[in-house]
Amino acid sequence: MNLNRLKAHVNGWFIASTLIISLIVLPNLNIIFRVFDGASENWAHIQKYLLPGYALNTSIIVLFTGLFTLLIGLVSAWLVTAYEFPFRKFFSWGLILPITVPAYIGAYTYQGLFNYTGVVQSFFRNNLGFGTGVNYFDFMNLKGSIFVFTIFLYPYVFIITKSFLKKISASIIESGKLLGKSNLEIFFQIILPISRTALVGSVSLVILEVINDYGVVKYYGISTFSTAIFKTWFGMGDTASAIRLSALLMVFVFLLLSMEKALRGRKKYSYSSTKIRPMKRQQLEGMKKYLATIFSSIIFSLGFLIPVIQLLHWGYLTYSKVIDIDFILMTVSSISVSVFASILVIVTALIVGNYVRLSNTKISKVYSKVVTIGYSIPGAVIAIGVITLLIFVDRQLRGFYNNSSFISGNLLLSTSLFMLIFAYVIRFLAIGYQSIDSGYDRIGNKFTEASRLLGENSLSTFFKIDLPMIKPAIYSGVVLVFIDLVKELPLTLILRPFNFNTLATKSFEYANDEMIHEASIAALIIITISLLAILSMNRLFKKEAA
Amino acid sequence: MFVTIKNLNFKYPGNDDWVINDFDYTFKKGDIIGILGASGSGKSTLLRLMAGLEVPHTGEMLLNEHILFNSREIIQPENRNIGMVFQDYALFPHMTVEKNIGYGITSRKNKNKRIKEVLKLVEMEDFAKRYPHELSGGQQQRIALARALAPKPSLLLMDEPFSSLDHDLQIKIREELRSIIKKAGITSVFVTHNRENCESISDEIIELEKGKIKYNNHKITS
Repeated sequence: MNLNRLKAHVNGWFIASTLIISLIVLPNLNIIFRVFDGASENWAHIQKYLLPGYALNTSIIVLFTGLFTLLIGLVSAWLVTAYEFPFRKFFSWGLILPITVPAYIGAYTYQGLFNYTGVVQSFFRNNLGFGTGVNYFDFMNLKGSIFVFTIFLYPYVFIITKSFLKKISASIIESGKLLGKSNLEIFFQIILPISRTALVGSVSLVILEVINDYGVVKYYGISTFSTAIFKTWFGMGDTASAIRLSALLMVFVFLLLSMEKALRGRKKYSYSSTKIRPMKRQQLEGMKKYLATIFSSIIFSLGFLIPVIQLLHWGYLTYSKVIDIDFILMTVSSISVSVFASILVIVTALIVGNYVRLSNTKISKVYSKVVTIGYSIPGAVIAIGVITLLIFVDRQLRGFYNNSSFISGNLLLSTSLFMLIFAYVIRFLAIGYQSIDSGYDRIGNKFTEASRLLGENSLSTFFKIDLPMIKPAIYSGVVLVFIDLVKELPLTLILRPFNFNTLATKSFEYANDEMIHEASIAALIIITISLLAILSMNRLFKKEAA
Repeated sequence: MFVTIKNLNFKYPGNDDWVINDFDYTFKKGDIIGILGASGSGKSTLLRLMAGLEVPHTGEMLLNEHILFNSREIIQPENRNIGMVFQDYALFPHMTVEKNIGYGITSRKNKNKRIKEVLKLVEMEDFAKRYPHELSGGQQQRIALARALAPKPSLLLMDEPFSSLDHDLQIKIREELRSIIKKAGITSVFVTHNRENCESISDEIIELEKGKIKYNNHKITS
């Protein structure tokens, strides 16, 4: 590269992006390097007796949740896109709503509903003559966790597949019909294969969420990689083993992601014409239309209606006990931290995104991949990477802290909110980045180039032209990240400063202390915030489309 | 000579073929130069290199005896004093016509006066408060031209300025365009794949093939 080309690429955007990328990579590299530090005395025991169990449980949950979310997501998306049946319009957005209920809240709600003293078994005993002393439903096992993950995570498959199916041209289906194929044959021979990319992509998101989870498996007492990392770190105080488990989980995730790439296949489906005639929904007749409504109603009820009604009932019973000044302050600080971190994520995404789009180099392509790795790495692993890195930095800065009159103690970064927010940015940057990237993609580079040629430098162009033009992408990015942050659990549990609670940790702590009813208020606030955020985004998209 | 380009070479990253290959040329002040060529001949890339939107591998360019780039230095697009009309005009959709035109004018004192001047030049005085989406294709093109001319650039570049217009409008607009540019007295370079458009508007034509000059001629104009 000659000097001029180097000068053109090394600018403020490059320097800021390089700094950001280094901060994202460091905690993960830290885990990789420290794997070679040597094992603790517990490691041999973990490896021999516990590790096979962690791997097996994690694999079973991942496999079955993936399979069931695929089935439910695909069938429901196909029903609302291809057919007309009673309440279809309601279900086409209603079936998204279970995404607003974090899986760990769903886990203890279902346990509360179906346990021995819960409303279901009490009803059976009191009204249907079921015997006492027998527990008819047990959710606290692998099957229960698979049910909970499936029913609260299938919307990922539903949303992505539905938006893909909407773009399928009517002529594809009509060609199938003219060639003598039945609806079922068209579904299996045409729709299913062309939806493969959307299905594999969305199921991968579900799987990443499952691997990231700590709340459900901890509450149900299932040993997985996530719970094992927590246990070795907090229970045994064994940093070396926690790091080794984290590294193994990273390997597991990367194997899954390579599998995903292979499953997506080489086939790409696109249309040569930009004018696509969307498929016309077919009216279901007779029994079929009622079956479609019943199926959608069951999914909607299990994923949203039943748990929310149960939480509302518990909230009614306990609100006067739970809501006090401390609870209100906790809610405000929880929301404030989420808002602050969401804005920070989007600012970071804007900087890297702007560098990537303006500099079409190999480095910029690598950067665009690195910013999205955080979402693939489970929260517990990021937490271990960040905490060990910041403790190391704190130790290096000990002399400075001791000489400073403003800082008391030897640890500053690793005991403050800084650590949690830093980890939030690493984990959720991918979500913010995707939103910003699609915004930049939509406007292209021509407006920026026009502005540069009219005398503005790249920074003032960024503020005067780029930012106003990608406002919708910025807004949806902030909202999407915010929803995830409000319900985030594993990172927050490990990295929060002493005595700091969020709505998610408070709700989880109540549930873990066998105070399920008290957990409902925080849970309902999380669900309401997510619901409002989704509704406002929906309005924004409709406005944009208009 | 007003614009001098020497030994210009360029290829896109990851591509082994030179898009611009040892290009040498000089343009006279006040001329309209049409660059003709098929898709992939390098004509738009040449324009982007002149504008500073791409960085050349080697070569030198001078505008009115000022260096725009050579082996040691490269002037950023915002400091070149070059105006450009983009293929799809790139009018800022969140700004009105007058805001779009005023965007590149640095002098606050004369801003409104200059906006009125160029709006008059393109005969669009009544459209100052409109947004780009409220204009027809031909009107958008005239506003894009007005915006590029407003900061009084030394050189005007136009990338396929007629491609978004239908045939009848192309004939009407290209005559207007020549008259406006000549009135403004500005040296202009435009690229097109349409020989008819090129011949009707330019004083001089260069035909490019694989980044090299296939031929050039000085057209006799009135």
